[in-house]
Amino acid sequence: MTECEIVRGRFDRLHEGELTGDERRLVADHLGSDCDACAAWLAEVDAGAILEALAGDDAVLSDLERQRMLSVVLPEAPRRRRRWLAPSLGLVATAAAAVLLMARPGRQEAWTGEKGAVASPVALVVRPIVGTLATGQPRVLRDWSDGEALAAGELLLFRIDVDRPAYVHLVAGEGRVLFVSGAPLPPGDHELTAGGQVLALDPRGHAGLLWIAAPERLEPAALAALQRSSAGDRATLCPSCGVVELRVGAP
Amino acid sequence: MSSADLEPLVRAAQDGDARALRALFDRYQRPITAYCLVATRRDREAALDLTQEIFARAFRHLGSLADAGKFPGWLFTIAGNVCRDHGAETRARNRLLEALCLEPEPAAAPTPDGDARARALRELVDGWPDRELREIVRLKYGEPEHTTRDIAAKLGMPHGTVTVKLMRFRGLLKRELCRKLLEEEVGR
Repeated sequence: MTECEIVRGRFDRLHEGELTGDERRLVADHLGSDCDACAAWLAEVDAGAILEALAGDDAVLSDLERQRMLSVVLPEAPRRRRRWLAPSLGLVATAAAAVLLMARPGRQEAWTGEKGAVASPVALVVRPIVGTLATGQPRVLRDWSDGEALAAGELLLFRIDVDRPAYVHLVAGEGRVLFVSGAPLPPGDHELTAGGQVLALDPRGHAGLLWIAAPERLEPAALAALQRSSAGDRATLCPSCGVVELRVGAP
Repeated sequence: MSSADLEPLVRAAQDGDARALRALFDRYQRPITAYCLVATRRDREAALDLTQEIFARAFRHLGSLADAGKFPGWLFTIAGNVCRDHGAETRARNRLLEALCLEPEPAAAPTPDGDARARALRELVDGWPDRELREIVRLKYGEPEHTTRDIAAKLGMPHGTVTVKLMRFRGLLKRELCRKLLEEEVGR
């Protein structure tokens, strides 16, 4: 086996972060010897693959990192605001109280927190919208920014986007379960409803809001555990969960 | 991912298909993050911030990409712009990264930086002994950009010679980048 072949074999293993310092030095020394054969070989290698090989595992996102990044980089879907204004839609919440919607009986498999059962988390995008109930119908006012305080009479409405069938859960910062979907939401963008009515929430009085999407319906104990955990630990506790945390501003 | 698979995906993403956007993110996140890691000297937190900004900018401007098949080069051009805007690269690194992303050839990026790319390339190849190669690179990647057939006609050489030399040029750049980065790592 020629030195070039040895170097190329080792270069492939860079991807997996398998090379020792000495092995990396050998590859670097060989490339530094102006080997035209290796340059010709590298010319055929995709630039992205070279970068990945050099970066190793540091370029791999954790499930939580991926989910968070997606929630930021995905452009907002075109709003279908007219649907919010449809007269057929009713209201779930009063202006002063948080909504507690109990799920229809669903799959009752307990979440074990076991790692590795699912390869990637549900990609969850939450789009909170500020609205009012002043006329007895939901009225959209504006997009809500994380941490923004609401004025009197204003509520939060939500659009939820998941990339695969998922139960969605809403847990308040103090640990109360505020909402669990009665069935898995199909992939796509949804306005959240329960019993055909729009979900509207007054976030005041809650120490933050945590949205969790999971392939299985999660038990309250599991939800509470996720709510108490740090962002890093959540990915370990529930690798298949997509999580979005919202901060609630003081009025 | 072949260009036959890529183009419909990019077009769907341009139409706002969230699943197509996610698929593009999943396909290109790792090489883009790797690019940012190189640009930030393995500062992972900074690299993830840059990755996020690159994809946010790309998805925001995706509608301006006329040729869906050029998405990878276009994305890497944005990566170069974002990393440069954030001062993430040393001059030498900047030159090498610019060069590495010559293929596939990028389309117009959301922010104009064709001059910066051309300058970086000129600086990189100016010292090379092969005069013909320098001229080919200047014509290929300078402004205005020439096709390989144009270059062959202009320099009076066979088209095959031009393509072979360009291939060699890309290989030399990659070798230089790999060597430099590996030497930095093992030297620590």
